[in-house]
Amino acid sequence: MATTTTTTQHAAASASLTAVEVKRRRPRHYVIAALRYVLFAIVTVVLIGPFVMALLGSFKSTQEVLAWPPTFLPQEWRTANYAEVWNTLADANGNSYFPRWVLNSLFLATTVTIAQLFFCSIAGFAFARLNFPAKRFIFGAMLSTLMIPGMVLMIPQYQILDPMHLVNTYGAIIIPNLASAAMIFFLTQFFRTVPKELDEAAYIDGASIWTTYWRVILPLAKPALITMTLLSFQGVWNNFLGPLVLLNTPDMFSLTVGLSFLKSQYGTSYNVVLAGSMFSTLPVVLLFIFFSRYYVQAVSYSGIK
Amino acid sequence: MATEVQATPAPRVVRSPGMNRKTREALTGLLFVSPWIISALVFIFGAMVYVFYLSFTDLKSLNEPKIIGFDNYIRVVTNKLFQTALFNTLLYAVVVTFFQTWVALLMAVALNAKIRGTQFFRSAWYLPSVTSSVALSLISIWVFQKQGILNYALSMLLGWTGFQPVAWLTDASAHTALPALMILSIITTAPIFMLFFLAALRNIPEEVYEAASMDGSAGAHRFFQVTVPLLRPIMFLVVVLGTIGSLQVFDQPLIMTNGGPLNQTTTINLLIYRSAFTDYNMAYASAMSFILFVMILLLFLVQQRILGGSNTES
Repeated sequence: MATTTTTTQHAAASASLTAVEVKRRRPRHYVIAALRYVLFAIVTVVLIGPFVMALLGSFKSTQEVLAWPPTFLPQEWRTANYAEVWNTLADANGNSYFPRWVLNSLFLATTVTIAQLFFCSIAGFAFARLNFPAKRFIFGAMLSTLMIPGMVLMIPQYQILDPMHLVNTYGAIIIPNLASAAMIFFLTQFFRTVPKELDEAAYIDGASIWTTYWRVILPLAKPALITMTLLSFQGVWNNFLGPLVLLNTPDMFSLTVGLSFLKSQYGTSYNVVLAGSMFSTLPVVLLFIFFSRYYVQAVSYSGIK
Repeated sequence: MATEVQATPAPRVVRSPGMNRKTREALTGLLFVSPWIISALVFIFGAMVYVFYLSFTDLKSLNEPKIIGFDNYIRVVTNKLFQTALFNTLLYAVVVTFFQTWVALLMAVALNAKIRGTQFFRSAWYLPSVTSSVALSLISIWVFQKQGILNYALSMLLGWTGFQPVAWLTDASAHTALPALMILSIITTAPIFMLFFLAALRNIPEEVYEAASMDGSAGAHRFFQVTVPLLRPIMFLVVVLGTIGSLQVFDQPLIMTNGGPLNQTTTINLLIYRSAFTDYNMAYASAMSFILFVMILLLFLVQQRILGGSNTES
């Protein structure tokens, strides 16, 4: 009984001690937290404010979107801006270009993503799991390519693809992007975190290397594969330089190239241009909102762990 | 020994008989990386060799290329416009890399607190980074124009200083076009690097800070003496990626300013693009490309000397 009293006394003493400590720390603690939130709010306004204003601007009239002082909410919500971007630019047969650009980008992004999922995951699996000659050298060479500027590669790529009659075809974008060094690196890093005993167990069970990859490792890599899918898709969907150089006729344009073309067509009709930008922005923003934790994951496997 | 025992439980094994495990593994490994190797041999390494060769020829568009030695390089280096572009690009890269690194670090430190809502802000701040450069550029043209929302916000905040709205992207005498591009780049790339720093900050053990506070280290002192040195490897990675990215600036100046006003936003990549794909002077553009590549390589080596620790990657 004596022991219990001492312990309770002890507990009470330590409790009051922490209470004192908390009391002493509290006011300053609150001030710092409040200051943090003020800072967060300012940063958020600076980073997201222009987007919100652009989204609202895409529903305003041409006069209102240029009004000084600017209005916040549109006086009248004009969905006609979106219809105008969608329909106005058309070829000789009256078929509008804009939907074509959206489909082109969608097709390119989907195809490249599927190809990269396969080619990058087998390569990542090999780098992380298999022993083969010159492995370190190949891996190093692959990392070094990340330093080569995209523009430097555009001139020779154009010169290589042109004689193959691939310029101005989907192949011009798909073929050079079948495998990506950055994605292979990312997946290699992920596969290295999967315990090696699993491979051993699979081997003892008589699984071939392919079965180990397909049935053991890939199912475990689902989160990494989702991350990769998102990043690949976003990369191609947003890509500008490749399509700008390699796709030349309006019916082949990607959405990004088409949009840059829109600017010269519409001049200061910013409401229409902003509506066009939203077509390009919303799909990736929605993907991000639904899957944001996978984007964060990408960073944790890019060599920082 | 084991083979006799194993024979019964694993009948579905389809292993080619004459090959041992090591050989099979080596062959499969090479087979699995071969798609990347083949594509890189053509579209990266082959392409680099080809661009290097082209830079010594007189290829314009369709003529048969003939070796002409260093002529292209001499013409590039002595070209006034190239010198302007070189200056703009370097200035842009230095300013953008410096600010994006520090802004990213400060954002990460601010978010690395145990308070409510940090996840929401982390996601919200990242939004501009998922948007295409083209959409960002188009939105920015509208934001930076004379009657734009930026000027409005600034005249509300700084009206008392006599601030007058500027046409950020077109007023040559105000010299605001390049800074506008810098601001856009810092805002849209800092959140990406913030994630890098945030991941690294969460890996710093609590004991390090406890030890530091026992030594009487706190606040800014603790930040610069304890946190920053521990983040050095990530700092190196961020600075290297930032430099490589910003030296290649292209989409934004092409769409927002087309190099103007008075070439104030003409960058090296813009010149390469114009000479290769609007003037069809492939050899001259190749020489510029190679100069840009060597610049990036040299800067990387310098940064590795100054900042690089022993283990940064892989």
